[in-house]
Amino acid sequence: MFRKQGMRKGSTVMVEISLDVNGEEQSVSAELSEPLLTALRDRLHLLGAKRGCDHGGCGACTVLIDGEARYSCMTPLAKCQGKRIVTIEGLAADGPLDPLQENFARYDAAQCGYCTSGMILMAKALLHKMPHPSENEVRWHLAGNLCRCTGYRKIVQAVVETGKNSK
Amino acid sequence: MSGFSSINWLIPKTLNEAVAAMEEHRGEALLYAGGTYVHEQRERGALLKIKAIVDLEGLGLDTIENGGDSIKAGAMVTLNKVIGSDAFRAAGFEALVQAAYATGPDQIKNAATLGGAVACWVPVIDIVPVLMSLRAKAVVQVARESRTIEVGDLLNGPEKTLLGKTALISGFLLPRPAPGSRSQFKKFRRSASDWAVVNASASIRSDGAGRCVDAKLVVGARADGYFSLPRTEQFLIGKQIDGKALAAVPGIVSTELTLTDHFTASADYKRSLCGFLLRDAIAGAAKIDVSQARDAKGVDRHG
Repeated sequence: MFRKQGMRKGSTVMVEISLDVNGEEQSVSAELSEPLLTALRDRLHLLGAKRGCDHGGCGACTVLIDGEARYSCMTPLAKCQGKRIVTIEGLAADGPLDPLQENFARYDAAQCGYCTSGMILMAKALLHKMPHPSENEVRWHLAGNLCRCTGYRKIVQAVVETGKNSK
Repeated sequence: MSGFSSINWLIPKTLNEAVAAMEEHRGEALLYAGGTYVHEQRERGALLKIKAIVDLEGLGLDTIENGGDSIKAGAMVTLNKVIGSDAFRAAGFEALVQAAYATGPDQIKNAATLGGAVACWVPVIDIVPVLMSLRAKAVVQVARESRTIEVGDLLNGPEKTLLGKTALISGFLLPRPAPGSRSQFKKFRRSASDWAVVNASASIRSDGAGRCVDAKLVVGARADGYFSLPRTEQFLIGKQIDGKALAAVPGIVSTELTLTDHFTASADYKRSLCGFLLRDAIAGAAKIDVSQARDAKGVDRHG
């Protein structure tokens, strides 16, 4: 059996954990039970994934893990080793904006912007498995991402239009 | 992760290793599948005694195998994998795919597992009544032995199963439905990604003339649990499933259920919802337009 035990620091057990974040290998010293969101924000200083409800209800912390949308607030680091993690920072990196990002800007699909990174990554996962979703399909699949400003209409429109324009 | 004192994260490679880890940390180990409910338990301080997490991801329990008489689904099969499975597209399994689809948002469905849904026994998870109505059996590893137990027989109240502290569910056997079988799942919830207030699963088999020859009906109610409904099943068997039979279902269901008040719905309201949802599930499984039941009954306030 593989036992991940490391240095005891106070009452916690810290281990060196290797993560593939946005195509780069990153190493963090943390508990394996630490949420990915905490490691991203507090250790790797990637602030795109937002802390909202912190219990898998709002979607602001959504990231892609091996291409699937996941709540990073409830995903422990132990479940992230050997997997490809993509945050909003990795979507365009230094290249041109992703078409979803362009359409979110074009359709004014953000007001305060707090939910936007989670919305875009959820939409990215959706368009990967369903390239041309209908409005109803977009609404259904974005149900785990809350927005308190926009009323969703422009967000949905941005995702639907991105799908329409994709090959 | 706050809420744990200090944790050893164990990643067993075999079922025997997993059981051995549970025995070593008896009462202080937590089996970790998708982790979607662990998070909630941790937040309310229910896991402070936990000293070891036994992570089931490395056991290869995430496959769906087509057997002869049954389909074997590993305990770590995620709900999105159920939705995408060719094996579960066959007639008779419709309710399982519907329930997986109805369970929360994609982020949850990508993580939550069949095994976790049963093992955490939260009233009311959508997959559980469906597994019961499909007469699924859980494959349970106890010490070095593997046993099969009806899913309904495992459940013992909120967050309690009859598994004991050193046993684990490795998978499920779902009997292949006989010809003429169909199933349907219905759910009532307050918002798109909410838990069900009540849910209902109907698995029925009809003969060529549309007469019901077998039925397994299960409802779930928030805070109460999951209930088989033998009286309603007996009522249907031998009958033509038509508007008149469907119209009688809510009344019979209400005589079989004793529920409690919950902040989401009163006991009476939940009981009423169970009856009407089950009626609609039976209608869907029988391919009957549920409006026939409304016509037979006259006014339908809930349909």
